[in-house]
Amino acid sequence: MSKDNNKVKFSRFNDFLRKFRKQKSAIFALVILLILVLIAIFCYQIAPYGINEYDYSSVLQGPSAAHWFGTDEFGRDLFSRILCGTRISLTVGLCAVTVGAISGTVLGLIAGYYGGIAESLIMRMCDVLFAFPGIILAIAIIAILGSGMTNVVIAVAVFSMPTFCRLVRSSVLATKESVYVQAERSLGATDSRILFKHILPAAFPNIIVQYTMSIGNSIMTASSLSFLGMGAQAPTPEWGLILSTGRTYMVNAVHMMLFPGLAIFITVLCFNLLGDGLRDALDPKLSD
Amino acid sequence: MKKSRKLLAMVFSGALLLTSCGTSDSGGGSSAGTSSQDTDVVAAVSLDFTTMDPVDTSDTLSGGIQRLIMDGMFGFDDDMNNIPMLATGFTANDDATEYVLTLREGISFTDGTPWDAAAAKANLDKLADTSRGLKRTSLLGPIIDTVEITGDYEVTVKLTQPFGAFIATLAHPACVMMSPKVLEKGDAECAAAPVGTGQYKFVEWESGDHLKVELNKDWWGYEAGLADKDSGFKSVNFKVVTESATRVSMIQSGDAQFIWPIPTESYETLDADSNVKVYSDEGIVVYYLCMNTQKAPFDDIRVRQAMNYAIDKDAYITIIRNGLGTKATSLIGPAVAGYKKNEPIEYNVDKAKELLKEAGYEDGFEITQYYSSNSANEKTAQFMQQQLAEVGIKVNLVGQESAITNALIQDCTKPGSEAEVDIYHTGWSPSTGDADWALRPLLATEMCPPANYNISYFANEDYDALIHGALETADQDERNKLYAEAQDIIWEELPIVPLANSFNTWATSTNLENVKIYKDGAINIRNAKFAGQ
Repeated sequence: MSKDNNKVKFSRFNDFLRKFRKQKSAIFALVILLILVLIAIFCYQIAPYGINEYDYSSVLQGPSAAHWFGTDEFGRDLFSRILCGTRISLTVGLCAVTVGAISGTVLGLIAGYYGGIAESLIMRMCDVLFAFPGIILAIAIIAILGSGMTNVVIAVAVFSMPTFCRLVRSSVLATKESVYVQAERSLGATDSRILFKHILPAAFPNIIVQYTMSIGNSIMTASSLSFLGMGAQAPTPEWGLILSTGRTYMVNAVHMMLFPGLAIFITVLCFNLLGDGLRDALDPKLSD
Repeated sequence: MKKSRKLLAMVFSGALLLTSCGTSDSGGGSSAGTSSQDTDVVAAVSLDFTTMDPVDTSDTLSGGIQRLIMDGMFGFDDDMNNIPMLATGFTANDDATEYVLTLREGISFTDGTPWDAAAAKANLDKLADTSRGLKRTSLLGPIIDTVEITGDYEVTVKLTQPFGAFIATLAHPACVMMSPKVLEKGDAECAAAPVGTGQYKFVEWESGDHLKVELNKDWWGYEAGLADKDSGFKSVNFKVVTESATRVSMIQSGDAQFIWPIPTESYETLDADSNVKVYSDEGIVVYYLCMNTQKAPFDDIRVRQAMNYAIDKDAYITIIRNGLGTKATSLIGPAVAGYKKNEPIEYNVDKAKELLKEAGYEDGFEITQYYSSNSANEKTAQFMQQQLAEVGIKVNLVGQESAITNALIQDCTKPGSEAEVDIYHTGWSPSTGDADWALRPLLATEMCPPANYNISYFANEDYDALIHGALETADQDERNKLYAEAQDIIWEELPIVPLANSFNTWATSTNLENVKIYKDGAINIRNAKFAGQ
């Protein structure tokens, strides 16, 4: 029995791999993201200069052999700062979406499976959160909690949560009444066994796609908050913050805006491309 | 095919747009050259105006605009020397408690009300009335006892205490004279539609957008030789443009003929533009770093000395002020009456470390620096953090909304030993042009927050005695001597790190001449005119 089960799982995974391999842009994005993850882990080892190493004699210099991305208003090496900013942006993106995904999934399972008052409460709460555009909601939360990176993570988690909640609930509603779940229930299985063994795995592909797509979005929101002065505090090398500082020097030092902007752009694009690829590969309705 | 047609249309309309910009630019110049008297001057300023009631104004920009519309009894020439305006002179008794002011005759407010002793009394009474809750009644409210009309053009002011800075204070922008007719209508009217005797008449003000003033051809100052009548323009429209890049592009495109201030990072760009003239002039704003002297570690003089050695003032001027400044030699600028030069403290990291070691902070310490979030403050805060890190002092930066920071710093009601502030970067310009309005509000014991701006919580009896002593005499030589001693105490006790005297920066289109900025940062267009007039 378990051997058969494994075989099924294996063939499903194979199927996914076969489909995913055809998504050229998603694979390309995945490679870039893996490089970014490596950079995030080893940024302090590979950065040619310290992130707070200033040199007042060479401020706002354009890109050169010594400073690949040029220098900022204190003569700090922009390349090193952007490298180290990778860790901050990826961490914030991953943490916020993970928190949002876990809480949203749990709430979605409860709402979908048990229904009743719990469902009404949870889904109306989600409606309230959905009523605000993401960034506005995040700003409101920051206004209450105060600025700082931890609060940015909380704010982004809160606004990504309802999407997961709605997604999981609809998936639960669809699977709950399926024959195999009914059969399992008539055999006397507990709620938790049904939920975690059968219903959750069915929702998993959707969650993974949404998860990947949300990371890009949340990196963007976190950077926006820092850009607006509500996230990272100077002198943290956060991309949004570097971009915001660069705005002042837009006319005479374009590189101050260009490189952090590119870093955000590439990262967000890669997460979205990967998400797209995963969706196509995981969608059973799309045949090859 | 379709695509290329679209592209062609885009290029064509782009070209059209460019040529239309070009014509409006040169058109503005030529109309000024041919001296049509209807021309508007457009000035772009970085801040919004707060109120038009001089007695309730605490910002230099609004005060400067009010000074165009209303004259004071005393005022300033271009170099900020005190000159008589609506008064022609004064006599004081020996202990500086009674002043007799003689008023200029034959002048009317622009609404037709005559300028006389009754008008002067109405204005002075308002300045003395602390019960109205207006910000600048703190200047003279506690000082003025009674104002008596002792002639058609003479008032006698009795003071509650000797106050040698009385005439200098009357030149403060808060002490300009408004028509008694407007005063009668109440404070709301004063704040919205001021009427004075000034060179300009108030036209309209839309908050957050623009404020317009019109030349007053009948201004008494023309006959008194204060300015030349033919300026070549009729009105000045002050537009509020907070985004500095927009201000820069407005002067470059000819949409504005005057901008203030120049964002430091665009100074060179504008300097290289042949259609724009840039100006910089030493002002009287002094930038400095406060240290909370009531709290460890700054209660130890050695730590305060170490801070002074640890911060490189030359680098501060280059990096933070973009080279537009000079090293501070006092808490007041050289142009302020009562200034005494002291030697700037050298930059010496070793000496700083040695002093910290002596004070028992060999391994440094950790402090917090609060600042109101904007790009300039953030840059300054990071600079302090970098400098102090060199001697082992770790500075945590907390940038917040200015309202939150102000509540924490300026409006703090706790005693100094419990206040949150460790160090705070700020600047001050004494708009009276007199040492009193810097040395007293910034460091006298009774001026600790929330009363005023003594953020160092400096409490020194000798210093207080000198500052108050200087107020008790009208003899300027005696006052200078006392202020010099007070400034020496600042240099010995170092409750602050004096950083730089600022430069005011502004830019005009090449055809607009004589636009100036007073040393306190207020706009001065008394002699402004188009070239060729």
